Amino acid sequence: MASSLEHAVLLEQVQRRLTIFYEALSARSVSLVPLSEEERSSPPPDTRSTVRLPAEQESADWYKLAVGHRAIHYESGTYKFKFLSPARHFSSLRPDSLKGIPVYDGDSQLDWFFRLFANRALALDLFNVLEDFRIDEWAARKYKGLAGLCSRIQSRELDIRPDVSDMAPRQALAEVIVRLSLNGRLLRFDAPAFLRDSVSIAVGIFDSLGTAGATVEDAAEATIRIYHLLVAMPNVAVPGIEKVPIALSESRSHDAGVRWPTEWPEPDPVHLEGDVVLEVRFEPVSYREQMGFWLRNYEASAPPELQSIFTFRDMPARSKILLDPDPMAMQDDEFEQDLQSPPKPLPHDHGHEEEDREHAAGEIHTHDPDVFIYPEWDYQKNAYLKNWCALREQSIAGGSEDRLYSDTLRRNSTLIPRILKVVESIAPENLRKVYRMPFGDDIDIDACIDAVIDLSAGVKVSDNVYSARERVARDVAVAFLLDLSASTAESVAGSSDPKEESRRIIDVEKESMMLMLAVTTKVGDAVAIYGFSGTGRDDVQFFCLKEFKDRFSAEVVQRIGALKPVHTTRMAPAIRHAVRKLVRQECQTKMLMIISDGRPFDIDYGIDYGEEFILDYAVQDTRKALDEARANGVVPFLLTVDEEGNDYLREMCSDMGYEIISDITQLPLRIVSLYRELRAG
Amino acid sequence: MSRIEAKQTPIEEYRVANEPFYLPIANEVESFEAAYHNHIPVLLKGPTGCGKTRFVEYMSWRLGIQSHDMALPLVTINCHEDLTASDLVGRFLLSNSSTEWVDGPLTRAVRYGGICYLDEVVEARKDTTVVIHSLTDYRRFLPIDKLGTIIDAHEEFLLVVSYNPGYQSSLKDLKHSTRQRFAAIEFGYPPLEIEASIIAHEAGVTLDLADSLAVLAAKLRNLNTLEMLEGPNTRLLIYAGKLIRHGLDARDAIEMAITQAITDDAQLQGGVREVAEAIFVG
Repeated sequence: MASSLEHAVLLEQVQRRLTIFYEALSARSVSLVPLSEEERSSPPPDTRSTVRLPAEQESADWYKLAVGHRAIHYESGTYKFKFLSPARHFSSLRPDSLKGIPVYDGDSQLDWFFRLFANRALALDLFNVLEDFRIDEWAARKYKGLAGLCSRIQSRELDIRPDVSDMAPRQALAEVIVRLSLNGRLLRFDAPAFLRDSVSIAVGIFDSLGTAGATVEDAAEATIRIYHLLVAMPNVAVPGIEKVPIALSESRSHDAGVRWPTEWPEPDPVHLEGDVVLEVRFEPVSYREQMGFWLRNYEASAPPELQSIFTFRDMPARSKILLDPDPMAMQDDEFEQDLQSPPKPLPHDHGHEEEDREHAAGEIHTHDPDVFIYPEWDYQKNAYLKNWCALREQSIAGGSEDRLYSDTLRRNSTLIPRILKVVESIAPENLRKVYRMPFGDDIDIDACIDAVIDLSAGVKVSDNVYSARERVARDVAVAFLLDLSASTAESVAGSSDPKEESRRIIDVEKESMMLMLAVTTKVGDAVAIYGFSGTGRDDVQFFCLKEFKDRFSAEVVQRIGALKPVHTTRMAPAIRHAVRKLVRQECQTKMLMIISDGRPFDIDYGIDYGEEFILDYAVQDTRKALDEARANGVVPFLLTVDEEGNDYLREMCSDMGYEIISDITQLPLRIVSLYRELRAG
Repeated sequence: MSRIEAKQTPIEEYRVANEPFYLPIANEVESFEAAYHNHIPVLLKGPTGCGKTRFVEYMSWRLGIQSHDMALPLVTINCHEDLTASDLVGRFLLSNSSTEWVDGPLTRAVRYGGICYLDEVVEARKDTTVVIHSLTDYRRFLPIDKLGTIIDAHEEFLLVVSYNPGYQSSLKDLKHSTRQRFAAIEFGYPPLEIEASIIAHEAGVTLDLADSLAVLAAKLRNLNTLEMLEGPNTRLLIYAGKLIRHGLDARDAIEMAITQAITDDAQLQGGVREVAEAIFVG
């Protein structure tokens, strides 16, 4: 069991660092995704933007090598293979033209290359092993810091390789190839004498392939040669034959005395019974990727779009083919673009085409102008679920609690001076001293001296001799998003003041908003206040307490006063909606402050994956919504009173700001000072 | 205790004493020469620390050697937002009970000849930069309104300005009326081999070490768009090289001169260290 590993390292611990590492080496973006327990035995292949790795490993070095190895494929040109380019260390056995080789649109030149072989799966697996070897050697030469850990991990891999001695000759040669690719030259084993020549030639080929300057074309030439050696071997054991000792230390020049194939594409071999069953298997090496896994289905008449996802070629045009049996999910690579920017959630089109549109199962559609449809991020599928959440904008009828504002001010009478001090410290930031002004509130000494000099010199004197404070054109819009989930009805526990006993979390939230209104009005920033809750994805409730355009009025105070705890915390659609409103503000600085009392949760959040995933699912969706906010130029900040918040907040807010307030009674003051800090940026 | 007097030179007489080390990347040297001989002012654009200032020094030396056996005078003015036109052109100063006119650095360069280099020109206020307009077209003169005079530029006067298009916000861009008075040469980070030679020369380290530093920089610059991290410039690489040559452990030198210098984000620093440790034995 992976979890029993001592000193185990979790992918999440190194994820961000290694993402940056990968990006630096390959100049490509990537997301490192942990494999689930079920996927571990047969991991899905990497795609162009996603690398899947075990969630837990014995060392951080393993992760570094696995990630580095994948990135270096790009750096050292695996995918830039040129069919007609010569190799550096091998004479060319490839044909010098594409004559007779089927060529399709959207092919990479590697596709052409594999079409040379009758047994494409074997050629592809072999190419993987040889190219992986070249990559490791290349990496060890170029990255001295990887060389050590590469050889350490290789020798660990060698320790767990299967035993060669009982294998049929072809399988034995295949295993020898993998061991050679791990620099395992120490092996000695007994095998039929005819294997000895092939092994020593293979060793010679590895010698050349490991030399500095070897290119992907060298790996291709090596593939042709070793493929030829492999298919010449019987793939069943030869009973009764005499065995001789073979050592991997002996090498032979690869082009001397061997008749390499010259006919391309290779003619289909005569199929012997059992050939297919006894297919050669290259037992995988843990840190290397299974690039060619899907190419085994190469012959299948899959549409080219589907094939190209799993093959090396660049996507031609994007086409909308759903690959997953689930019609909602988009396979990540195909829609890389779509994933970078979420499906346009925004306003609902009521055109005629829409009327008749069939909605795929699960998608939500509405004609209600107060309802907004948002996507949701499914971290298990690594894709957005389109039209997944319905958010209803609701206004609150103001209650009679119009005394809230004055009550708040009275209750916080001890706080007010401190808050005012904070407010005052905000105000000057709005102003900047400017010099050489025609009027102003102070004299500009430098300008005065110049004027006096000019006067004595008898030249034109400038009368711009004042300094002034000028309002800097740096305006701020801030939206507050209040969690109105049922748990906000809990009383403010742990307070030493008995008077506080009866107060609930929501009351403190209300008070904080009152104070913020007072502050922001004074400073002159645009402010909006929203609340959210809900009862499932088709019922996300979004309360507009104060829109940006609303003036600070008794009605706003009444609305805030009338807030009541509702139900659950589906935070992500509310964030998306608030961001949508913020984006419309023509302000330089846009901030979103989310005030919450617990982790995001909803009754049907990620329900398809079972209960153990619900919490993670919610966290990941929220995290994605926060990422979108930042992508839209909004600075989000999450403030929570959930003391157990650390574990999920770190994940959810990654590198954006969040804070846990242990004493809820401190919330109002903390909000104000945070606001000031954020504002100062 | 004896005091060592610092060397003082009037600004317009400053010349580069020895040939500055400069490795051409493309044909910038020839382009600059052609501009100089045709009195075409030059705009150098490119990220900070990629060699613009060094290039100007080198060109002042090269052009001067061709005609006078010594470098052309080089007047460098670092622009900032409080720089006024008087700071460039000159002003009256009080002297006893009368006043005395003192030329500003630009005026001195115009009279004396040589290269006048306005570094980071967009930092200067727009009303300041307009004083160079008449210098940068066919007129080639500098009006001094307080004196009521016009000074024709010296035959060997050339105005060069630099600017970093990515760094300043779009609010601070050159006015078109200013910008289109200059022929422009773009500077980028040098290619790997050249950058390695530069580091080896400037920091006095082996080419092998310099090469590793250049590789590190090239990798980190891949993060410019992916992570919005401005990768290290050549100057920082030279610092790292110098620290290593001084005896600092490579890891510590890179931490100081590169990792900490380019970002404050702990996560990014972690990633940068991973790359550094892969390139230098960790």
